[in-house]
Amino acid sequence: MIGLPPLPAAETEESGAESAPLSFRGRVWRSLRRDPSFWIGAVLVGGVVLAALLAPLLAPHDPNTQFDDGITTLGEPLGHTAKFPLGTDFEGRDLLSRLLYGARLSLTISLLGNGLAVALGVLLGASAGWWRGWAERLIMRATDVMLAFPSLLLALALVGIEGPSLTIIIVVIGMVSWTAVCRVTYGQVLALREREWIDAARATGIGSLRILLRHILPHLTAPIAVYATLGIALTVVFEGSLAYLGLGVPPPTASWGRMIHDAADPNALLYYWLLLFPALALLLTVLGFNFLGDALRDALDPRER
Amino acid sequence: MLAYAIRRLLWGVLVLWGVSLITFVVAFAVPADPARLIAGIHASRAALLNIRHAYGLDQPLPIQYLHYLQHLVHGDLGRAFSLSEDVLPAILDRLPATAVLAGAGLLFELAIGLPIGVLAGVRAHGLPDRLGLLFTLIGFSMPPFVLGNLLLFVFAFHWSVFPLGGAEGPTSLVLPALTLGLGGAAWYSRLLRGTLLDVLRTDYIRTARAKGLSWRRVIVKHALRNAVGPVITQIGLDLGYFLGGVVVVESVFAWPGVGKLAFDAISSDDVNLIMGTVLVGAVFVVLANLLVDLGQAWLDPRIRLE
Repeated sequence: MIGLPPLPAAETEESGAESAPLSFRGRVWRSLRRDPSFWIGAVLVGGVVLAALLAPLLAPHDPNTQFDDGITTLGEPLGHTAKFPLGTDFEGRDLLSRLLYGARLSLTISLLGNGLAVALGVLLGASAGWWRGWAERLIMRATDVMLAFPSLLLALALVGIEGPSLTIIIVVIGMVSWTAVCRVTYGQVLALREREWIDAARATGIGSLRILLRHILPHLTAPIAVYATLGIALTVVFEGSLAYLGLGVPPPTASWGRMIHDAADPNALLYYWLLLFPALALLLTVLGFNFLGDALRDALDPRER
Repeated sequence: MLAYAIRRLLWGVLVLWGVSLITFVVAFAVPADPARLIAGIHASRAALLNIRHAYGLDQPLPIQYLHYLQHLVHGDLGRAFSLSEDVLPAILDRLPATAVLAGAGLLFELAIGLPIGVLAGVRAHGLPDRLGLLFTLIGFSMPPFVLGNLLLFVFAFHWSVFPLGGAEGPTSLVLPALTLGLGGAAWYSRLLRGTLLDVLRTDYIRTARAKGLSWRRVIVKHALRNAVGPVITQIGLDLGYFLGGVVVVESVFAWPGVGKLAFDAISSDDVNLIMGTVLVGAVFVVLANLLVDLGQAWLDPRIRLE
């Protein structure tokens, strides 16, 4: 339940200098193409990405407009009507429009937050694995400390202090979720630096940075791609949890986690669509990235199959 | 073995120190004034200064941190201003509720996850495996606050089988534990499937089959016994993680545990309580890691030499 599913070591043999990069890519694509998980994931992720990108075009209404005819005379939200396909919430706002804009928020935070985490993880992991010595000790100790942290609590505290805003939430997510990528990168770099072709590169007198960038990092794209994809799934959940607990981007911005929070109020449960649709949106998004990540892992590491 | 144990223990203490330092820095960046929290909004300036002085809040931060550490090693986590109670007793008060939830959640995880894992591993690439993979993927992908609320909607609101929240009677435990368990079950079934697949490929399994043992016997007696190692490790880690409080699940079900306490501490800017709950959570994680590592070192002497 904690962290990412176990990932076997990357096939450095597969991606090694022995085989031309094109044939490796070809093999990966061939394996992906045959994998139903890949297609399910691609459709789900593609759908969410399109929904997020095209939200202004697809949304029937402005997500924050409170329609007078969006609630009953008793102040109840509406179910499906011609004007509001998925119904409205207690404020008389169109649920479909809010869901579409919610996709925007969720993906923005997840992609940027997770991107930051991956960048941090690769930077720290590669530094620790390549330079060893005190950098290695310091970074890997810091990783251990971070792993002992209840990361959601840390994030809640940080967001609570700084005040919830888009930037703060992205930065905080990046800060608390870099450890997995860091460990993987570290392990891979540690193994790769002992290989003959790295010795050869060193012997020609190229600098460390160049070796890292040109000869080591390219071999890490496979495991990092897998972790980054699965990491997005985790980040979507993380962002949703923050919003659910009231520390997401403040209202009236449409956020799935917040919508679920509001819908879960015992007085709101009667209007099931308020809970059902954001829950589905969140679940399908996370599911999509997990399907995609799984397919990538299987394609990049044939031993699993 | 003793040297290894001591090394790991010292390391654990060091990690906790790191956690305390980071938490302190984070917690004391809180703009809220603890003195204000104690005295109330109508307190005079003089009263505030008095309180600040009495609790050492007028000292420089590094000094305050040293004071905190000094109390910490004596088991004193300070006062929870928002509760008018000491932090440690407040946490210990809620620990049983969290422990019950953690235990029940773990039971669900294993009861659901292990059979699926075995089936998927034994019939790899068959229908059970595919269904198992689908289940695990959905399990992974279901955020606990979504699952919890859906369960609440169906079983508490629609069918009123279980209460909507709180911790009264054994029925109130079912839904939170199930929420915790379903996500974790996905994890365990994957873990067991993976190790089982590896084990089934080994030579001694082929030997066992070759000497005429039935599949059932080979799986139960030879394969499973060698595949449960990682599962046991994961149980240890999970328990440590759960005992620190499961913030989301406890919030969804208004479960009066450590996670709820921690969340309330953050909502009310209670610095000492934030630090206390985070530290106690970290202690459980570190302890669980320590025990798991020692257990593994005891079983596998190679680890001790690293």
